[in-house]
Amino acid sequence: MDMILELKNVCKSFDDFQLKNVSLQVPKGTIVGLIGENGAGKSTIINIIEGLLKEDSGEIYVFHQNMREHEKEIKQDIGIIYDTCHYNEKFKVKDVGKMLSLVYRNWDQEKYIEYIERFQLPKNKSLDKFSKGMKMKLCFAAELSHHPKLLILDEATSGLDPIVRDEILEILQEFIMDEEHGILISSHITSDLDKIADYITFIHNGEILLTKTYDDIHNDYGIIRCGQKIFEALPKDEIVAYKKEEFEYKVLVENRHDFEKVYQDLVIDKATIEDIMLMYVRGVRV
Amino acid sequence: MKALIYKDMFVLKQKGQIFSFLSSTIIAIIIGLFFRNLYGLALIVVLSIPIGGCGFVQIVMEKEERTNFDKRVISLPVTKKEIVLARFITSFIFLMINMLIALIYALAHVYLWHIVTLDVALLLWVIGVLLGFFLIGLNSIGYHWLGARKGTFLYLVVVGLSIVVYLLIFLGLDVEQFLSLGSTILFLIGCVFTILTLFISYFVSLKIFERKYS
Repeated sequence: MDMILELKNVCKSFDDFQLKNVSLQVPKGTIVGLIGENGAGKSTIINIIEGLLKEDSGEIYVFHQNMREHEKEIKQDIGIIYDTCHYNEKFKVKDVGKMLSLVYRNWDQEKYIEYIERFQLPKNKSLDKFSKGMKMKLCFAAELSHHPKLLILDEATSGLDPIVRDEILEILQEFIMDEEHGILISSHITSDLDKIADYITFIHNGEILLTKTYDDIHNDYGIIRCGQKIFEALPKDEIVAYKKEEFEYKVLVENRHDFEKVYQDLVIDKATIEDIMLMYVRGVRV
Repeated sequence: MKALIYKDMFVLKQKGQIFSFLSSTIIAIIIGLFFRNLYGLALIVVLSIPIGGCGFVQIVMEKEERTNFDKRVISLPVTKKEIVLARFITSFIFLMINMLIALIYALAHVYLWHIVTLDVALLLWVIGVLLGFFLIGLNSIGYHWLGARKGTFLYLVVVGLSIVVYLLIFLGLDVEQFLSLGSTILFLIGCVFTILTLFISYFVSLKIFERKYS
């Protein structure tokens, strides 16, 4: 598979937090969802990719080039969108366009105006008069208008209403359609990732616990709800995590179909990304 | 780097900011009109306008800190060296706009009021420019190290020291004797001192900026 972004054994230590040997890949034509609770290390990874933080060890490759050696050149083809808009509050739509046209050699003013019109953004209002959703739309318009090959979204959809979010997710799917682009999207809104992610990478306490295709997760992982007796009879080496609730045990397994064959009376639901995240974080890992 | 300078200069497009930008210079000149002599000219051209002119970048940086614009700037295809250098260039532009007004004011003392000779007026103006550059160097370290708000304290300390130096030089010493050192020698000493300060300041600011994002 042709990788558009590759992190190899990236480590970063802070006084109270450590990113441990993070390896992550974004293949061309895919959307990789980076999930994890707040403080798990998602933003740290993104900050390291973009150069806001420097890794202690490990390597980052973007478009097969070492990020640290060709940072300026590589960033011409990366678009980064955060959870908030960082432009000067007094900027208008045209000022953002003007500024970015001076820095991106592939800046496409027509495309920019096209997005501005598609998002119905006011051209003559300064950003301090924009709503949060409008500001985020502007960020998407700006980042998509320099024809990046890799888009990195750091909780970029978190403050948006469902309608705007849906529109943005549609645009992201259009973006990867030609199989030449890729997206890394960090989010704790797992329903967004259910809609668009091809791969899910789950990070917890600075450590990657799981990287799977969305289809594998969707097909293979299951949640068993059972009483104590059945729980005790389940083979522990095949349980990923479990959680004792008031009246039942909730058990996460990664081979749902095998369990279904053996325990035909058990009700095994498909596990959602949220289930997996909750079980890993709040459950007991076996 | 053009983009970085554009976004810094953008502040002047905002309502009332041009007046705010030039206010210290205008006020200094209005006050100076009541002291039309060599000391008055020196106070305005050598001290007041350079100090006011090099401080405006603080307003730009404070606005950026409010929106955490550094985060966006670093994600752009520019190096950290370019980011720091762009701030210096913007500061130079802000200062030189003010110093242009100072030059006109100094020339008015030569041709309009016949208070000083052209040599003296130009020498004072050059000293003002060099002092402005020197202050930009010091301020840059303060702003990068402590941020735009706290960095202002360093700026104020520098302003205080500049006033003390002014009082020592222009009131404690014989100005005529000081200026008779020879404009070339004074110019060369000032240039070397200022260039050195700017170089050191650039590398220190860059180091601070790199450490902040490491």
